[in-house]
Amino acid sequence: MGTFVLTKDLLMILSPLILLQVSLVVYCGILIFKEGVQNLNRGTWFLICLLVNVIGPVVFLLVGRKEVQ
Amino acid sequence: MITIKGLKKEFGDFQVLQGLDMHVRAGEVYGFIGQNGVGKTTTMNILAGLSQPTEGQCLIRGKDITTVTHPGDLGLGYLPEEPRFYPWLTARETLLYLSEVPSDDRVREILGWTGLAEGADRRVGGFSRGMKQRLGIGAALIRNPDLFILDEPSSALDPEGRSGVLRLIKDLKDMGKTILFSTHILADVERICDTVGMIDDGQMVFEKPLIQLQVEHTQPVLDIVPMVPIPPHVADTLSKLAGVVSLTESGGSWALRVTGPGVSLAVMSFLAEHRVAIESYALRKTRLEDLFLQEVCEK
Amino acid sequence: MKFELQKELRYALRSGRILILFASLLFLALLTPIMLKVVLPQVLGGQVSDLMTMTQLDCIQSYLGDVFEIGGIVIAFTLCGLTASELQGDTWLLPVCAGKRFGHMVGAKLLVFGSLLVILPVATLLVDYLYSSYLFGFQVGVSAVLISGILQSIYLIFFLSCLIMWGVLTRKPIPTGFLTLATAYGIQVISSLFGIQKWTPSGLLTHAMELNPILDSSLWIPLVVTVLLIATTIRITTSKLKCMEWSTRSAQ
Repeated sequence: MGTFVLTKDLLMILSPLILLQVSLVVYCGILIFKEGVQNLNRGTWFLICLLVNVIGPVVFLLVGRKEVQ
Repeated sequence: MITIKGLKKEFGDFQVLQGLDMHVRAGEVYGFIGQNGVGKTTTMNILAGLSQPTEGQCLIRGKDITTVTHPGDLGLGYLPEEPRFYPWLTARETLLYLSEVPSDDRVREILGWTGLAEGADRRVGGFSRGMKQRLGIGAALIRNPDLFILDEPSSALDPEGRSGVLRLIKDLKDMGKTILFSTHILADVERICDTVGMIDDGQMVFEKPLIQLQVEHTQPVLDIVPMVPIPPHVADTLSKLAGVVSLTESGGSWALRVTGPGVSLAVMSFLAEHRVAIESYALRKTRLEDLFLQEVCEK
Repeated sequence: MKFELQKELRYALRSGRILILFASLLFLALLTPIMLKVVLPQVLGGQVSDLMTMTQLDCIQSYLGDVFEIGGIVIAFTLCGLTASELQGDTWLLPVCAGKRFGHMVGAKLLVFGSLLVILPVATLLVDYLYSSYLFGFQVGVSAVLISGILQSIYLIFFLSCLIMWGVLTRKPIPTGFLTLATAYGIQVISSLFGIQKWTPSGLLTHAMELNPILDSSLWIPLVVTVLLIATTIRITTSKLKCMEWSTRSAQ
């Protein structure tokens, strides 16, 4: 099994994915700290968005986003 | 406007309505009272076309409601107990969505009338209950029907919200609309209703004009509070006055049970003759609440 | 009808539904080529990966499969509340009393979210196409990709109509999601078991996977079947709505 080396090429290949993740984290971050959250606290949701690639923000948008009652 | 004859509704084995009769005249405010769970909401749901009756006849403007296939074709404004709006729409968008012929002017007019002009472009999700209730009445009016069915519009609101809603109902009445509303707050009924119908165990207990109800149930009792204690011999003579049934005193206040309201004149002149100055003099009236409790207890 | 459409569009935008769908599909579109180009050779090791040379065709096919499996789950649970929440939360009560027609209410949902399920998957498929061509080189023509995308979208509209129907039948969002997935995967499993794929909506996916630039005449059968199924589910939905007891408190 080859060792995983982060080369410049690989970074180029991964850049669209990284861009998607970063923009989602920024968007969800704004929502989390401006609108508020439900089901979990703000910090946890932000960490989930930050660390879990794309699925984190998607899950947050589905179940974590504050629904105004 | 509304005629209900022998209305029955069953949910499984449970009979909610057991032959309800009801008659609402055009242009009146009809107060529908009763305890929770006796079938007020069920009746209103049937009238609004949202639920099918098991048996009996419901006529609105002389037309049987079971022949109307879509609830929207009944031509009435219905407000459920807890109106649910889309939280992500603003008040203005909600009214536009719910109107038949969308018109910005009409929506603005209604927003002003319900006192929601300032919150018009806020999302409904952030509204208080009172605001939602007012928006609900506005939404009922937007198609300009002549009949309104409001389910507990003023309950669960704070005093300020309640008086706001009552003002809207009064306005509707001034517009010549017919309003049927249910409540368990009897003070509200006394404030705005023309006719009162009380339901218990799925049947109408009584259905009378409010004024008649108040006259019929006015107990012939005079409450007198003298400024100085009444001397015993005067009290003795008073109790022997024609028309006076009994006389009781408690804490400086005298209660005279009399044969009819007409006796009050004789009592008044008697007191003046014996130079008894009085602080207050009143014919006792039964409040709707006492009547309600009395009816419920008798059952 | 115009205001119903406007309302659905506002819902899609303001509840973030569009963003969720777009982000998930885009993620799949970007991830699949990377998996095949970078991660898979790393995992398999040098020699095995030399034997298996991945192409753009493999990549797009793999992406289409992912959209059916993973994308299906995301779509199901993103849109499971479309009709179920309306009934569960009684938000349809006032529109119905205000005279909104059931056909319009359901139709607006189908139109708005149906168009989204055409635009978004086709857009992300094109992203996948371009990205994989950057990694593997061009191999497939754009017209073939577009045809595949449209076929997949028609399948997804069928998926949407199932969500709408189950939502009205169950009145609960989460069971709606599961039942729709069960329907979709059930049809897939049964059609491949009995080899009747060309008679079911799954046939559309099979055709999509082939990435055939020419429209095959055998395509008509699954296409007609799918359209008929969509019409049937919508018919069931509206007739269920017409005889529904709307009373908020069914028993006290």
